[in-house]
Amino acid sequence: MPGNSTKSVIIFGFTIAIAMAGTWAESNKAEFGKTSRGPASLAGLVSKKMAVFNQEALGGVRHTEKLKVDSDVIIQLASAKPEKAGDIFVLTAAVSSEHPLENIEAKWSTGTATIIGGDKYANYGPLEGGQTRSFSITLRAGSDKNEQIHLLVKTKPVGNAEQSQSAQYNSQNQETIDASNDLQRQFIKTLAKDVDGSENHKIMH
Amino acid sequence: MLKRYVFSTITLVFFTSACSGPKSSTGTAPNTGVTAPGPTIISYCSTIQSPSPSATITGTAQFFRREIFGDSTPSTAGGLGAPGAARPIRYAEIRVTNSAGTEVQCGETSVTGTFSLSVPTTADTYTVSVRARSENTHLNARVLDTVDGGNLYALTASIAVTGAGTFALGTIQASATGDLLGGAFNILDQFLEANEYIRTKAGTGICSAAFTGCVDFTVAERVTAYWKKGLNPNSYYFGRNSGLSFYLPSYKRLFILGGINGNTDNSDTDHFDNSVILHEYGHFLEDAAFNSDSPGGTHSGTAMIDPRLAWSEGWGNFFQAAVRNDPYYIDTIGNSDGTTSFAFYVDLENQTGGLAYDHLDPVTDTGEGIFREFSVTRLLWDAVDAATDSAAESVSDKFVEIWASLTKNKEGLNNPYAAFRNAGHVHLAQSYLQTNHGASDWSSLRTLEKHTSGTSEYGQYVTTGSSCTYSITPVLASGTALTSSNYLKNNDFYHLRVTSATTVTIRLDYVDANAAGTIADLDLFIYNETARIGNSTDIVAYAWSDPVDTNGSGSITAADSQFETVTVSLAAGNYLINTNVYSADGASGAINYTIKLNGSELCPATLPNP
Repeated sequence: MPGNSTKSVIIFGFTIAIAMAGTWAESNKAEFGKTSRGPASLAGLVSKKMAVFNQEALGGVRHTEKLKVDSDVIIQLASAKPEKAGDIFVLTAAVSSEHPLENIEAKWSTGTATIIGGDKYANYGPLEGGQTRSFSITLRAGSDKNEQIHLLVKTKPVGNAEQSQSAQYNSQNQETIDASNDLQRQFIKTLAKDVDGSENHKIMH
Repeated sequence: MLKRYVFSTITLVFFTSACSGPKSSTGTAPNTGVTAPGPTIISYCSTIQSPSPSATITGTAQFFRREIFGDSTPSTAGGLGAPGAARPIRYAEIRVTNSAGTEVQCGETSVTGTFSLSVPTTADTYTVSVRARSENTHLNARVLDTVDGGNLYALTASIAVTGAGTFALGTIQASATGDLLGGAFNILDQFLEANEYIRTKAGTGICSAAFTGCVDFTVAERVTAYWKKGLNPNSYYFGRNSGLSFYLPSYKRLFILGGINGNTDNSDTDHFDNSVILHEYGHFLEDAAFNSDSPGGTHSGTAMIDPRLAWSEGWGNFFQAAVRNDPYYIDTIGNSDGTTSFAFYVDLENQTGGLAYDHLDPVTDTGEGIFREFSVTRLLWDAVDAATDSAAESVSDKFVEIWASLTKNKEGLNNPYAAFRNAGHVHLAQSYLQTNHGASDWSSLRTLEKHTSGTSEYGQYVTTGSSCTYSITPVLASGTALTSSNYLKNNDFYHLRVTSATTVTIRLDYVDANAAGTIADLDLFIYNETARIGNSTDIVAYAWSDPVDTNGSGSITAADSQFETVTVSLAAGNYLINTNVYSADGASGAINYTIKLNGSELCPATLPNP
């Protein structure tokens, strides 16, 4: 079945639930449907459920995304936050993909921080669809200033051309950045309409 | 000999605000939103003055950009490399001020970036500002920092004028490193490239000559690009860290990724990714020059998606390739001063092979192509590329047909009554041009990419008629989400146009077509014109009962006729009737069905054209 991706299309917009028969769930992937199904001749019929998206509230704008890499990469601090030069800290990266990957390559750029454990560059081989590959590096902070750590990940999805993406971790500022982003998202969610009061506008990427 | 000298004050006229993250604080509405009005932008310097007596300041304005290195071989290292040769800043606004800051002259650079400006002979130091803005017959665009900043980028230099004569300012250059002013001018230059391309292919005396009534392209209306070194429009607006460039319709605003949290050497940037810049400009053209119904949404090019989105993104991918005359979509990360790679290096010519970009396999089923953005891209590319590159098709250099189909014709995309516009509407328009204006035959292109020639797969206009039985042969679904339902095989979509508010009953009757004894479950959804599949906000009515034993035989068999029905009040407008097969726990063979509106069957029809 060509193109039968289970990847859901995330749609952004307002959270204006419309009144309809039944109860629309508020979460993005809430399942909505009946609890049982009537008799049928098809074997193995189970309760019928359909996942229906409510709009994700982001910005009062509908928008498309820039062509998106088929996998996700995140970096997380897996130790205490470094406070001064010489402090040791650990970052863990997680590469996940809904589709199978033929290969994963990863390369760290650590600025003045020194890698004392783990590989600056490594090939992590294939990854099955729906799985996550995690790996870590241990770093010695080069200063007490914010250091931007980058991870470049090249992936080769099965059947696709090679792709790359970069993830960033800020040794001192990451919490602030995350909090600021959270705040921005929360603010945006409160917007019911654009500033001009008109219907929400699309964004194309 | 006149005494002259040039100050070494080539500078970026700009601001020094921090360049990372949102600018909001708790409880305070940020003015960084992409739709915020922002400050008034300084007016265009357009008054050509004639000082007498006069002196002349001459010079050349250039910019640098980093160049992509590496080739299309996946295993080859590549990405965004070192700056290349200097390029002219073409047709850009120039403003000259004296030492008091008074405007004394306006002008524009030439195609080669040169300028010659008359100024008073009054001994003074004059500042020449070449701005990242054009408002002329070549281009109408500007590059600003942020919506709330509203600052226009400019390359400036100063020169002392001591009297009559010519004073050579020399060559002033915007850098591809450091302040990255070259990024702003590269964005502007790519917009110019886009306009030049369309003028070449569909400009004065070309489109109108090919197709009566086609308006020759001159210059696109004004677009505003926002870009700032190190700034990710995704984070300052949507609160996310992943790099993003995007276009905002209606506002004619285009946002280009300048980096992530101040970083440009190891992060995703787009100011030198011409594929991305031109792709976004393509979205602007959709908004400004013709019509689009793209609903937006995530797309990775690997699955069937809403065909309106597939058309929109496919068009953008194609347009960048056409302007660059290169059948690849290239997006880089970082640069050679840090770590760099290709985020994407996508082959837009071939369906298969190392750089092809249809997940797992190419399009295989007739009608599938309109749901795949890269299929749309390849089809359009095949219409403009050399005829010899594919034995299966012989259409070449037909951008004018594409442009006429998009802008002239009222038979497809531009029919005022059209809705749910997708590639099928483009085919309708192009077919009309073929039939009535001698346009080329695209059937080979459509066959290659599994496109049908109209809207039969999505947005088929229907009206009441008789004897209209549809058939659908579903496939087993891998999940229950409507959003991941097989657009082609498990769904049919019909365009219902309601001319005045009314209450209607829409009924779906379905029956096993081959009496095989099994029948999948058909459901009925009525969407408003936004029509994002599976989005509750856009569903105005639905019915999704289970198949039942209608004849009392004790089980559901082929003899059991099934139905779904909704009664709903509809305002005047366009609605999408979606017949969806719920096959998560079982598909079946062909199913025949009818759709009735107030008891009358709905049948395919030609969309009226006012």
